[in-house]
Amino acid sequence: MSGMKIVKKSDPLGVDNIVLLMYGEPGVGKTSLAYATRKPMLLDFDHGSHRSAFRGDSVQVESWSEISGLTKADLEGYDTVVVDTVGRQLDYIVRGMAEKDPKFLNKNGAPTMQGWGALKSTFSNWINRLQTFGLNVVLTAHVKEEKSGDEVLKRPDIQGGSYMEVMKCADMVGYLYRGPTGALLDFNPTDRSVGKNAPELEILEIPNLHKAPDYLGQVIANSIETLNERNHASRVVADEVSDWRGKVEAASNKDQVNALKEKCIAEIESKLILKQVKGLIVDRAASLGLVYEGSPAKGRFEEAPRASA
Amino acid sequence: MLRLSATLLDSYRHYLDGMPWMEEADLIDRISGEVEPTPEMELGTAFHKIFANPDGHLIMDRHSAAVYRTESHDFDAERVDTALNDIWQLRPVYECKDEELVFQTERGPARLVCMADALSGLTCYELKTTKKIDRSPRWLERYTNSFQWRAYALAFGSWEVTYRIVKLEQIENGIWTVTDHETIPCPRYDGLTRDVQEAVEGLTAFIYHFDLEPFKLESGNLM
Repeated sequence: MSGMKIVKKSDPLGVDNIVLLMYGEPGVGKTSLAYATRKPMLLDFDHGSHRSAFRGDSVQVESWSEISGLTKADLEGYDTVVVDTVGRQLDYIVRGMAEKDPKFLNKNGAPTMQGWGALKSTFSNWINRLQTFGLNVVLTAHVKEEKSGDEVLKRPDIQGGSYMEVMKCADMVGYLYRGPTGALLDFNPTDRSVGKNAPELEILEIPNLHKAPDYLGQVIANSIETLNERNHASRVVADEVSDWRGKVEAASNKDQVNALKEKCIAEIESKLILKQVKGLIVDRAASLGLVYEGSPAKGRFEEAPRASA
Repeated sequence: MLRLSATLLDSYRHYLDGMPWMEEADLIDRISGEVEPTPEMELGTAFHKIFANPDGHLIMDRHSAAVYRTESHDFDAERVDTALNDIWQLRPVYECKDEELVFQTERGPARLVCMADALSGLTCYELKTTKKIDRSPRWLERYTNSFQWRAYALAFGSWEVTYRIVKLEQIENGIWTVTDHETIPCPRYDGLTRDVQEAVEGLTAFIYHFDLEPFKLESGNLM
């Protein structure tokens, strides 16, 4: 066999890199913070990276074709790709698509239904490819406000049908804003701003990036570690439930089902696992025509009374 | 102790958000149990039966395409498989119930009862049927803002609740088919417990304000 690496069922599938989306007002420091990552390469779609005091390597993107086919070799030596901004990137993709095939745009220059579909798949395939190169991806976006009653909700400014695609592909979505003492990055979804915060981070106070030039890189590294711990924990739960599933499916009568119920309560320490195993037992009991009688803790499964003719 | 469902908590959120279908009177009806199932609800219930037990509903014969059949609805099996197969392959635990989530509120304790459609490891899957998938920010936020998934994340210790949204349309011979589907992952976040606590607090206050507690008390429950 070739060098194909087989991942065994029991092996945890690790998170090697993530996609982080950060949005905020112009001038709040999105580009500078994006540069505070590990070995960043910034794709400058907005042509504004020169304004950052922390400028690193960048590509001044002039057309989608320049970067649509980026290879691993092109990005050798970089750990992070920054897309600044993702909204402008999508504009470039649309323009690139229209040059190849005009049917992707309507008379007003907006994507057709087919165009939206192609835009989404082009974007997500491109992000996926960067991830297969082992790179973290940081997307920046401007903010868009929408009034809802007395509240103003802030979202990343991403055009139409591609909004959802970007939100889905991002593992973390944070709103960067100016607080009383400096910039704050909040990944939590709130009434004021959308967010995605799988590693459950508190609101981050952005330090002086001169003193912490790898600040966001560290946040990303810690988040990856947290996500991997969770994947592992999830795998442990799934495996134990799977072991119990075999026992439950082997039970073929009332006494065996009741014995299993007692056994799982006595043996399973994790409440999370116990809930799932109880679910399996209830399901199995129902398939055997058994009904539960008595209190939740002390009841038993009994034969369901037969309906009289 | 009050006994509340995660679905009722979400109705309360719709009421707070000023949704036209959930005005004060609608929420009172929900709490008092005076809600007639709509055809959409019945369709959703039938589809959930397929989700939890596809083999038990599969009808195959040589002369027509396979369908999943419930007492009330037939579904185009091939299209349903396309929308749900990845979840089925995980061999999740279906219809898992939790009744252990209790919040202390100003008006006393309230139990939040949760019933997850499917659990696999520490991921919870929640199935929704709909007539429309438009993928706009507001459409997406109907799900991501939900208190239902927040409650489930707490109840089942899930890192993520994944919504599978399935668009159903009726075709010839009255068969329902899947014309589109979408997946919306909702990961936990810092402050999730506080948000659910506040919502339970608010719903509890609403119930007592309108003297609806007899409908929701665990002991002496009228329903």
